Amino acid sequence: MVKDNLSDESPNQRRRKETKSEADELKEVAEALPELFSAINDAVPQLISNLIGSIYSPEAAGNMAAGIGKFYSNLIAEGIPEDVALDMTKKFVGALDFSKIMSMVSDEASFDVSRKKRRKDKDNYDDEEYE
Amino acid sequence: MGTARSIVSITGSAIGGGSKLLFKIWRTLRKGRSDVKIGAKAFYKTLVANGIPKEDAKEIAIAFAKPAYEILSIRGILALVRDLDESGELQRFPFSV
Repeated sequence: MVKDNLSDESPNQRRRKETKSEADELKEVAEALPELFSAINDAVPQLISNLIGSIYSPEAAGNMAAGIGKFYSNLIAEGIPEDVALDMTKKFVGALDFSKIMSMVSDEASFDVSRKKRRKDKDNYDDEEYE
Repeated sequence: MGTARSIVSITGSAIGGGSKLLFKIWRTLRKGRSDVKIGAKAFYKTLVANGIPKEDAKEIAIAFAKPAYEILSIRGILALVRDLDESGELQRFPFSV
C-alpha cells in the first residue's frame, strides 16, 4: 500500500518533500544552537575557575606552604643543619611535582564533565525511548 | 525562504555565540592568572613566615605557580579540551597547536 503511494509520487513531489524535511532540520538546528552556546558559555569558564581555585586559592596555597614550612622547621628543630634542611625541603617540594597535581585535577575535572555529558546523553536516550 | 532564514540564524548564532565564548574564556584566563598570582604570593609569605630564606621561597613559589600559567594559556585550554575528547573525534590543529 505504502509502496503504491510512493510510486504514485512524481519526482518533483518527492524532491519537494525532501527539501521540506531538510528545511525542518535546519530550523531545528537554528533553534538548538543558542541553547548549546549558552550551556558552553556557562560550563567552560566555570570549569577553568574551579580548576584553578582548587589548588591556587589563597587558602589552599597557604595550607600547602604551611605543610612545606612545617617540614622545614621540624628538620631545624631536630637539629639538622640549616643548609641540609633547606636542601631536603627543596627535594621534598620537587617530589610534590605541582604539574602532576595540576594534571591530576584537570583529569578529574574532565572526568566529571564527561560523566555529566554521558548522564545527559543517557537521559536524552531514555526520554526518546519513552516517546 | 525558511531555509535561508535558518542558515542566516545558524551563522549568526555561531558567530555571536563563538565570540561571546572566546571573550568569556579570555576574561576567565585573565582572572585565573591574577588568582594564581595571589595564591603564589600567599604561598611565598607562608614559606617565609615558616623560616625558609626569601630566595629559596621565591624559587619554590615560582615552581608552584608555573603549571597553572601553562594551563592558563590558549594552548593549555586546547590541550584540556583535547583531553575531554575521549573518542578522538576532534581534529588536531596544524603545527601541533
